[in-house]
Amino acid sequence: MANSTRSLVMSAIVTALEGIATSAYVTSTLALVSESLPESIAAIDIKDLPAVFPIDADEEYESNEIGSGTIDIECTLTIVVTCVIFNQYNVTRQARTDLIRDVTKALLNDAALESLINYIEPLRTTTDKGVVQNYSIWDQEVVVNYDYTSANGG
Amino acid sequence: MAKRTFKTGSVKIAAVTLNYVRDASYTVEEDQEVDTAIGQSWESVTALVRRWRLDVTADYNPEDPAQLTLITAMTSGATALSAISFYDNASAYFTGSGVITSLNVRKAVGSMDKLVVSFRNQNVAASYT
Repeated sequence: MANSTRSLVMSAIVTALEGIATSAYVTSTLALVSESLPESIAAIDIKDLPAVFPIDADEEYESNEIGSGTIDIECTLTIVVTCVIFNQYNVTRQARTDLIRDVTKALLNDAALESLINYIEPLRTTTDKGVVQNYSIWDQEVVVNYDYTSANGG
Repeated sequence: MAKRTFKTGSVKIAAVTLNYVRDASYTVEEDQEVDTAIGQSWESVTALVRRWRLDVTADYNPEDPAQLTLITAMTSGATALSAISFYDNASAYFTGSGVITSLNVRKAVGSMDKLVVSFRNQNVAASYT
């Protein structure tokens, strides 16, 4: 059975983020793109930073068509990308702002992702506000909107 | 008896289904003249003319043949249409000849593009089958 659209969207998100390291921008080079966020930031090996951890989060649904014979659903899915960078001198602003830009750029300009969805929008960035020494940690959220029918369940 | 839900029902333009419809509202109205005589306890009215109107909102897609028919009719063709039908389930429907009174295409960030179109009757009685 084919993967759900939600799964395909996440695969496209991961691929787009992996592209940051090779082509999307000159400044940021990601050492790790993973869907397994460790319980503790300290558990991430320094050599794996900068790292991003995307996850499919909350989703809202709305019926979107009369009379098609199926229940057609419009989904608005929030994707959260947790980003982590490290600097031994606690100077993270340049790398942080570059990576925020690069994640946004990668996700909002990916043709494979766009082919799966109706639209994508950045939602918010929530940071650690500098309270974690030597690290900069933040969540970047985007929303993607896509359709499915009850015939395939999503 | 099954409830009539949004899984069934449609709007058709000359037998061609208008796709991506989100909301459709069919209204029949009648003008009435109050002719109550002095001294009567209850108001009396005389029925005058009737009219119907249909308001439809759909996700905008000009590749849909019925949507394109409406766009073409409103921009460069004739607004009169021979058969505008509103199915309230799979087989029962209101229908009649009518005209397009307005057509609106709406784009906004953070939402689907919308087509909002309204029809009204054209000198022919509505029917319900």
